Amino acid sequence: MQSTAFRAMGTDVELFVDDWLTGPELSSLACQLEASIRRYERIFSRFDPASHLSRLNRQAGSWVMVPAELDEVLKLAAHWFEQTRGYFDPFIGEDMRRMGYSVTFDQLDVTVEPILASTRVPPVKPPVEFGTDPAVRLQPGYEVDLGGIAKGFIVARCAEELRAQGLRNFALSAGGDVQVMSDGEPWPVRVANPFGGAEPIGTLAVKRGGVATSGTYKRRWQTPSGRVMHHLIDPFTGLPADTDALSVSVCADELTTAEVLAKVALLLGSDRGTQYLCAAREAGICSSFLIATTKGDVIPCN
Amino acid sequence: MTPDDKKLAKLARERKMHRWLTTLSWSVPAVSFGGMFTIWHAIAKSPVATAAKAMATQSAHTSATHVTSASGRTTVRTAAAADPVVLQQGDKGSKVAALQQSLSALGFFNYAITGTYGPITAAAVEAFQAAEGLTPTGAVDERTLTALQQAMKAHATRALTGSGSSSSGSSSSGSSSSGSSSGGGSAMPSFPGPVTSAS
Repeated sequence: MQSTAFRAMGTDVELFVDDWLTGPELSSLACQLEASIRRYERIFSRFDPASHLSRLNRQAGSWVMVPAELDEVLKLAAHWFEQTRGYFDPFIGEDMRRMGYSVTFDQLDVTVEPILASTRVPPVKPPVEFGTDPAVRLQPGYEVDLGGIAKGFIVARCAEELRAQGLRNFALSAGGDVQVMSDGEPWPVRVANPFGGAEPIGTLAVKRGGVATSGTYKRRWQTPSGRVMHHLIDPFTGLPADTDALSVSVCADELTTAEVLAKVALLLGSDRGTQYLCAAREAGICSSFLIATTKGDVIPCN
Repeated sequence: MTPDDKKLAKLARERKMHRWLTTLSWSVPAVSFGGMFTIWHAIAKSPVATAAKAMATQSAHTSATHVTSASGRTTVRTAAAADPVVLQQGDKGSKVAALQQSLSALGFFNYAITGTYGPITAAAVEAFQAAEGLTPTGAVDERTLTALQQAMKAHATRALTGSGSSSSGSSSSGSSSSGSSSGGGSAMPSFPGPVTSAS
């Protein structure tokens, strides 16, 4: 198996190929892949003031023309907001921006005690309207942070592009989101150890589909008062989520679906999360999952 | 220049001088007070102060008590009212709309979502407060908001994991097939393949 890696979307992008390719062929593919990702980044990045998403955020309250890709992901986000009753909520309000949510994590000053009060009034309906053309109107007072769902969308789109280029057996991974396309054997996707060890805590076998992981074990910090904080915000309270799930990995047909389900299950906690994912699995929405809890348990479901 | 002009010019000069002196008399104490604070803080943070603090604890040194109290690790918190009001009658906007939607979802509000906090919204908030055992004020204070957030979360949780009403209607086409998974705990350390992790 051959692999190549580069940095994009603020994370490591890796391509694993099981087809027979020469070195130059692989590097040419990697170049095209990188160009594709950069193109998508110019649409979805929240930290690039020139991106289409940033423009939409700045013009909240008025109708804005958006590229078809952004329209598609926003519709997907609104769909999942409704499906998960607001548990999946990429529409952050002004009250959440205060928590240092408006800067990338590298820029965040972690020495300050964050404000542990929130005046968040959770929206019941996605605060976004869709017109034709495609045009989108974001309700004033809201901002969109597509985060994981946009990353999942980009990875899945790029994987389709690679397949169109003739690749038949490969996996594309970006910061923990893996899309597998295999005409032959299923690929083992290892689940990173959230307890600090090097050994993976499990493996999800995927033939064609996406695996996403959501966790509270990365990007956590301790405040001067000793409270452990993490970046996962509970959309109902606007505060860091209080959950006993440490890591949730989900495998589904669509990487974006896996992304959403993993995040929702993480917010629900290990018991309710397991219940929710089992129901989703029975409904055919996801195919397998793996939950690690703060107590050190690993709950697999095949 | 007539004597009148001279007189006027003199008056203007005097007025200007007066203004200047007034400014000076206010700013000098303010600046010096601020300066004193800066120096005080600098002393409090400096190692000398820590040493002084140690000394003060060793022998109850009268002059060091001031420094000690200054270097004492007091967390300055913004003093907030006991239960500040977040939203109240007369407010408008997306937060009020979200409040009306929430109250509607919980069964306390049966009118159109207007985004304006009027008497009907206030009555709905009062009903919600009464149901939650809070003082019915009709205004959303922090305690009421916390209760509302928790009620909405419980509402959503019931919908997602409650009996029979789990999420359905996947947007995925289902044309592709993802394989079944194998095992938890079985490690494949040397395999150089993809790894899924939280970002």
